[in-house]
Amino acid sequence: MKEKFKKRIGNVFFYFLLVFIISLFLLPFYWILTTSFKPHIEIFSMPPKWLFEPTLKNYIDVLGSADFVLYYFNSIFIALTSTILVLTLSFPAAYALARFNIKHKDDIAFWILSCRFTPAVAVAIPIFFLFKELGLYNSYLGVILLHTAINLPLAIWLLKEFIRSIPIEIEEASLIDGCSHFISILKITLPLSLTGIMATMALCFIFSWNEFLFVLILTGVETRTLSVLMYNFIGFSEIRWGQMCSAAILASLPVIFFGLSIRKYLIRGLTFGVVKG
Amino acid sequence: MPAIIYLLFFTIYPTIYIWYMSFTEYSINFVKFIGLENYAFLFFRDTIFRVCLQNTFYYVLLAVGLEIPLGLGLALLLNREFKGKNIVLCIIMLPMILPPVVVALTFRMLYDPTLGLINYFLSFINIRGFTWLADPKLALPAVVLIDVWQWTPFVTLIILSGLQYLPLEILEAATIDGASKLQLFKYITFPLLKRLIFLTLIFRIVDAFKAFENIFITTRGGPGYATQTLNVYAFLTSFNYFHFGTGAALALIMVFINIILVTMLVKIIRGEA
Repeated sequence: MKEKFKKRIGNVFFYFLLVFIISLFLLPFYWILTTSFKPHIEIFSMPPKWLFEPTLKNYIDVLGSADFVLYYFNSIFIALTSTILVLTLSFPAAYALARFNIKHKDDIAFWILSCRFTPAVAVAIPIFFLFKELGLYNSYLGVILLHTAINLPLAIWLLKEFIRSIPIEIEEASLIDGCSHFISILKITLPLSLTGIMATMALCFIFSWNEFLFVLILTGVETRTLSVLMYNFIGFSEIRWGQMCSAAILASLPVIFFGLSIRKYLIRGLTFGVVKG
Repeated sequence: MPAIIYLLFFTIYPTIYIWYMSFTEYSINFVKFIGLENYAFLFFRDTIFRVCLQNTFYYVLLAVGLEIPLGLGLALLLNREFKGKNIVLCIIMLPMILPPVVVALTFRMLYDPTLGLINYFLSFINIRGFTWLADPKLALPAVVLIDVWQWTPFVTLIILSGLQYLPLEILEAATIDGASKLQLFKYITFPLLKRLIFLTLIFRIVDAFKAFENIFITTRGGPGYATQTLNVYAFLTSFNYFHFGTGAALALIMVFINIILVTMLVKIIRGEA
């Protein structure tokens, strides 16, 4: 009886703690979500109003501005194109690293991993001048090429692991049955590593979408992405909180969707596959 | 392999060029070779550099020092079956996948002295609000707190994944032998998790060291130089004041500190595990 009672107290305590922790993580997000639906005056009311009549005005204002629509499109375009580019470049490399005996394999591995640790500024300074020289400054191509370079090491690394987890015997069997190497990869390895490919794609998309520093320095008025647009919200003397919050929500939706759909692989992605998660 | 060539280009070119830049006075329209002058300036004459070093050190120490124990605690708390576990895991994942700019702006709003929630909550327990990001003493801890909010779940999720592979038999055997929960953690769980914790530590130290958005967007390194870290300083020196040579030298110093950190910690892991 006493044991049971003790356990129940423990359970209550556990859930109490859990709710507290969850609200710590959820509250900031909840706050921008509600603020995005608040009419302008209510945003400034103190004590804050937890109940209010929701309005879509902030969303209408944001979606009605040409800038926002353009930058949303830019974000999608840059993230998608660079993701596809990353994938086409990284798959053969990952395949080779996983299946063939290559000289200096360990060196390549170390080099790819060290890309994860380099501070962005160290790359940004020389690249800024290179892109100016090549006319890639303020162009989609420039940002896309750069985001591809940022995501490439990650993609090679993750795909290599995914390909390695496919038993090599299946490929060998198909080769014996008369498939060419190319067909064997196309018909067997590619479909079998599809989950891995999707996860890698989603991760690359998220990283490109969220990236701020390079976009800030390499893009001009026409090629900016949402990250920079939102940063510009605080440039004004008076911050338009309502619009900022609805822009933030709209900018978060795709990454929340992709992030949650590849939940299992998120840690693997963030640690470059070092931790399997 | 085209991918390797592509990557080679994007690593070798910046490396060579940034070395060259660090020996020059480099601005948008002129370049002059000045040898080690940039480094001499930073190490011997630049007081801001020293402040930045201190701030960076403080930032990394406080952020990682909070994230590891908090993340570990949360992982131990969540390491059981309960209703809604999946939802909880999804929620704690949010901070990591949200655009860093969104996170920084959200906290800027929460820290706002007049309309921010944080001061509002403090008023419940009769504490007069602070100006947070505008206060030279509080600004740095405040930006560290954003880092903690964002990355504690990272520690939690990694350790949680490690806890799944703990040998249950050993834990059960120890319990039967009368080990307390604390003893179990100290003698079994922790030693088995040690490698994973060190690994997490490396990632967190390196990432905290190059934290950018949560500082740049909330305070831009201010007030004064209160939240200026090496990374922010390198960025501002280059892209705000256009002293690209000095910026390059700063970035290289960062790279060096990074290399030292990584090799040091890798050695710790190899030596211990």
